[in-house]
Amino acid sequence: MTIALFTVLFFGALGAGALGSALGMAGGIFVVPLLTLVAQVPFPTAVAVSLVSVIACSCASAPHLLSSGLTNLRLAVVLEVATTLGAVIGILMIGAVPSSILYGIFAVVLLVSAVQMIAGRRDQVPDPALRKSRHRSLDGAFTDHDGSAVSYRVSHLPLGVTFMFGAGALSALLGIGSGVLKIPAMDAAMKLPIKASSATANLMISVTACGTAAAYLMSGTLDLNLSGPVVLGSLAGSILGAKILVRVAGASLRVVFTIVLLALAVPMTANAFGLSWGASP
Amino acid sequence: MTRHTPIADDQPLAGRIATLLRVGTAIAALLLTAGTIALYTGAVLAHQILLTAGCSLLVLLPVIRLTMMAGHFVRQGDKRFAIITVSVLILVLTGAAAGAMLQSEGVESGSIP
Repeated sequence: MTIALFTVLFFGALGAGALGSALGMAGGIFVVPLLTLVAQVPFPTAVAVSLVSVIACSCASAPHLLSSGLTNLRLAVVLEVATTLGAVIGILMIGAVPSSILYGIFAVVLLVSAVQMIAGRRDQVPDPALRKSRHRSLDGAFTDHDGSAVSYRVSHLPLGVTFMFGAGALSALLGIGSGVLKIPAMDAAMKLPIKASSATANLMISVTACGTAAAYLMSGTLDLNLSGPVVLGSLAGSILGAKILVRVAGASLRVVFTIVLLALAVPMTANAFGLSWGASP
Repeated sequence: MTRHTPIADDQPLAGRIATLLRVGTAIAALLLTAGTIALYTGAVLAHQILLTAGCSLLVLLPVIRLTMMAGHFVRQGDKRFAIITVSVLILVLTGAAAGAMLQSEGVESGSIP
């Protein structure tokens, strides 16, 4: 691999990781286009590398959230039944779905993510009918940054589980962390407070992705040359994003994010229609 | 007086998982960095081994995390959550095995480069 390509991939992945972690995701949604458009590798190759980088980012950003008590471990593992089942289905579909359709699905995910980013997230009012906790073992509590104690319950678990199943399948097919489905599932469907939702979703990414990543690794189809700069870059980026980028005003980050998502949707859609769009090598 | 909620009982586990992930990610980063240096100093085999080790460690971290959680629930006597956690583990391993077999078939039949 040329030093030039290594550098481009490293800094591209760094940007992906930084932007992703500043906004509470793993950045896989940027890594796959980075690889298919810039490094011009086939879609499955990009997916394999992106999955490992997504696991890395999730593992890098989880400790802080775990230590601050924001992550709901029990809810995470219940939802992971759904995501890993979805991932198994996704894995079984890998050979059967042509790349052009995957590009198309990816473009849709980019657009939906852009809309979600513009719409923003709001702490949902808990369902007033839910006076008694349905799933007491999943109830959560944490201390907010101003010291106030926040406790919450989980609503509409079956709906959340359905979203999570889809998130798992998408993750296996597209190499993303599937925040696009997980975040709305936790915010809007299950009505978790935003901080708990982000923290729990963040932890779940690694388990969702690891079955598929392990499959690529064991079968020897994970491109190690690409993995070096991409995984290291996204790790560095996710640490930087959490520390530095977060201090930048939230609004401008979201605008940048949305613009990048929309910009990437164009070549991904082109590829879906078989136009083979990529930067010159 | 702290109410004994399940989530309060889980906090020590959360701390242990945080440590696992911190240490694991740091080691993986070191392996990947060493592997990259190996590539550019011509040690191709070392590069392969170090990168494989680094990626394998990252892929293993979620599995280790799940195992720790299963152990925690067993010790707590929480059968329901122990079963849930083990189910997730089984699904992960199933996915990995199925995927690996399908991918290898693809490689042999020439449909995967």
